[in-house]
Amino acid sequence: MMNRKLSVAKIDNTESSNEPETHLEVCDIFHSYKSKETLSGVSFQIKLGEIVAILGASGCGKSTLLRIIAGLEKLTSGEIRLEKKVLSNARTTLAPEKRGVGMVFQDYALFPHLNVLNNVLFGLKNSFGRAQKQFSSEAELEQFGLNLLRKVGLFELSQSYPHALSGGEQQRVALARALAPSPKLLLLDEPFSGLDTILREKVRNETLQILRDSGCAAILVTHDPQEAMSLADRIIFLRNQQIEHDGSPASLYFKPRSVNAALFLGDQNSFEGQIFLEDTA
Amino acid sequence: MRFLLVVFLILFFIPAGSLIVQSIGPSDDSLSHVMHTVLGRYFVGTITLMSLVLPGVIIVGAVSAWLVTRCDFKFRPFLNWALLLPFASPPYILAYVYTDAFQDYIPNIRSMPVAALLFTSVLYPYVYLFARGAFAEQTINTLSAAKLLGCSPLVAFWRISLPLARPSIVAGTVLAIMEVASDFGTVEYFAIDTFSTGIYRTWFALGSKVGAARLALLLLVFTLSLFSFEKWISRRARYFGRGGVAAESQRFKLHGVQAFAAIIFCITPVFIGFLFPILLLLGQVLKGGWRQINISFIEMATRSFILAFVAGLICVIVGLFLAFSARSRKNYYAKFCLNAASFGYALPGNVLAVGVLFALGFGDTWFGRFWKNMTGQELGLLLSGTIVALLYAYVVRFGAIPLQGLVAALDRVTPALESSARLLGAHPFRILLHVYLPAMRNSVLAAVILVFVDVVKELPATLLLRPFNFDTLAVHTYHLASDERLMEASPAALFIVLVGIIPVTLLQQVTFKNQSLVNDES
Repeated sequence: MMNRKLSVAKIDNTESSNEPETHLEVCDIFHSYKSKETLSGVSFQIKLGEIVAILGASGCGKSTLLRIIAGLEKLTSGEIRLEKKVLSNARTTLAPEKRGVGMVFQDYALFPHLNVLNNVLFGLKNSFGRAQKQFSSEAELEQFGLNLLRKVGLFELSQSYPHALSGGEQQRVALARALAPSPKLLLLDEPFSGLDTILREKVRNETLQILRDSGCAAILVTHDPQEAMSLADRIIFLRNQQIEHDGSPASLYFKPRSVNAALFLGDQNSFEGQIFLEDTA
Repeated sequence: MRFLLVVFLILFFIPAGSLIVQSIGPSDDSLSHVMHTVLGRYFVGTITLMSLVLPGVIIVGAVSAWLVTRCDFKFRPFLNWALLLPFASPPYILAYVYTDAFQDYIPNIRSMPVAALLFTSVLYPYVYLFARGAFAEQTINTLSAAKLLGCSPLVAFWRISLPLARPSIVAGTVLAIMEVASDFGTVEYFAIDTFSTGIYRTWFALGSKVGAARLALLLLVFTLSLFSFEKWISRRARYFGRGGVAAESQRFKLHGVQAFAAIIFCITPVFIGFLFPILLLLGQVLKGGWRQINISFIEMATRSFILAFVAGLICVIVGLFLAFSARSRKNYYAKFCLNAASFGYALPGNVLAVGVLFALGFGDTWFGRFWKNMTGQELGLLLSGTIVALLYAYVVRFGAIPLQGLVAALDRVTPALESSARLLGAHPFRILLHVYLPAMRNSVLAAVILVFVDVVKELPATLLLRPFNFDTLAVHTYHLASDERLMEASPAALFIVLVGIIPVTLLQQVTFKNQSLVNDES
């Protein structure tokens, strides 16, 4: 974790002179489920430390896209690369446990039989429930977990069980758990949809802070334009299984590439008309 | 994987299959004798017994369920639980106890009406359990709406609660009736002519295997239709909406005569089906039955328990395999096996035993011939009359019991839970060990216990299939009781009933948990 953070810092320092290199590449991927196309020809790239929101109505294929990147779903054609290494293409799919990709699920999927600390440490233990090699002792592992919990403000709840936590607390445990093994990429599937409106804003800001601190690249799937606007460096608008807009929040707001993208942000006054080029000749 | 599933499927269907094969054998004299003389009597006997038990279990089960869910009176929480207790007493033990206690006063106690009464008093819990669940699920809004539309509580019961609970009541009743049809110990002791006793007599008194097979097949068709009917009804019962505040929270209070009547109504079946037999057995044990508790008794109990435990373990392993296979959505074979395995429950014990005997007979003869051709030596019987045969029968009969619980426990491990474990780098082995196992531990334990208790109670299949001189508690009780030596049988009988209390407590816990879940959702 420390090493990775240092490297992030380095890149940040040199950002002005040198663009951070491409981290995740999604190249022209297709996916279909029961002979119905769910994604057709989706391509984009993400840089290290970038937070990208995938925005779209339900059924546009955004969750499928996330599951494909996580390795939980196979793609029909195309290729996904992370740090130049192929994760998925038509022939091979790297198992999710070997990808180094973290994910926060919509319902958080916390392990109900483990307390908060052990939920967070799950990804840092081997098959026999012992600390992985990078930790010299169980105590060090536990300390690491407690530090992480302190960062997300859950130190006092480390021994509580998931069912005793509020929605916002559960969400932070899920986030801490996903970040604990220092993933190369973090995926968040509608992570705030289970929270009420007032809490949502607070948790959203905290999450953003935690994500920025970790320096990890993140993809957030949401159907809430406001959420995408306030969190993401970049918004990809997905509609009918394809990308209709890819750019900064400001660009989506001021210069949407399609009528649908504009309409998705809220009510618009739309005028039909024709544009004529003036004959300058 | 698929190969194993096919093997399971074949093993589950061998007993029924061998009945079909055996029953198309040539007719003999005794068979036509059976067909012309007693077949009608068996049919009438079975139907009469069932039609006497039917109204009894419905009235006792449904009304008591309504009382404990909708009304509030003294001892209600206790009765809510106690009404399940008769589940612990096998009907045959009730028959022995009541005959012993009352035959001096009622000379013809071994009769159809008494048998029906005893069956009612131990089988109504099926209806009670189902109806209680259905009543508890009905929401307060439904009933408030009825009240606002001018229904009194009793009218609301008649016009709203009862119709809503009807599918559940029917499902419970069908299960109770199925138990009546497949019972052997009670009807045999009371010398009532039913299919169940008929199978035994046709084979052992008349020596007609084909006849026994045909009778068994008839009974099987009958129980299978009941069983399918119950499945169909239960599927329809699922439509009931959950959510909303469960009506449990607003019970109306009963006072004075009403409360007294409610208590009497609820305690009577518990008394007949559980308390009285337990007290009588206890009395017999104290009077001299305790002398029977010696080394050989302990040996026999240990034998019963080990047998039951091993059967439980095998059932759970088979169940886990089936449940895991069926979980992957595309595995239709596994789904089919899951359903097929649940049909084993519809096999009456003696039908199953006859089927297993035929099948192992075929197998042993065939293999013996093969062996003789190969080596020239006589082999004798390989599997018939061994513990393997007995365990096989238990797994076919009770294999369905753990399935529902295991499948439900597996469902609790949501796909997202497994996915997130994988994304955190866990290998399949670790996921099994640290995600699935903790979630399923209780269900696995409960499943072993449920099968365990059923095997300890099981009589007809054990009687027919056990190895020579291999007595279990149930068989021991049966032998002594048929010789009218109830005092000597009392320790074993008491043991069986006491062991039977364990699953009743489990059942109560599980239903309570489900009910509180329903309440939480609202």
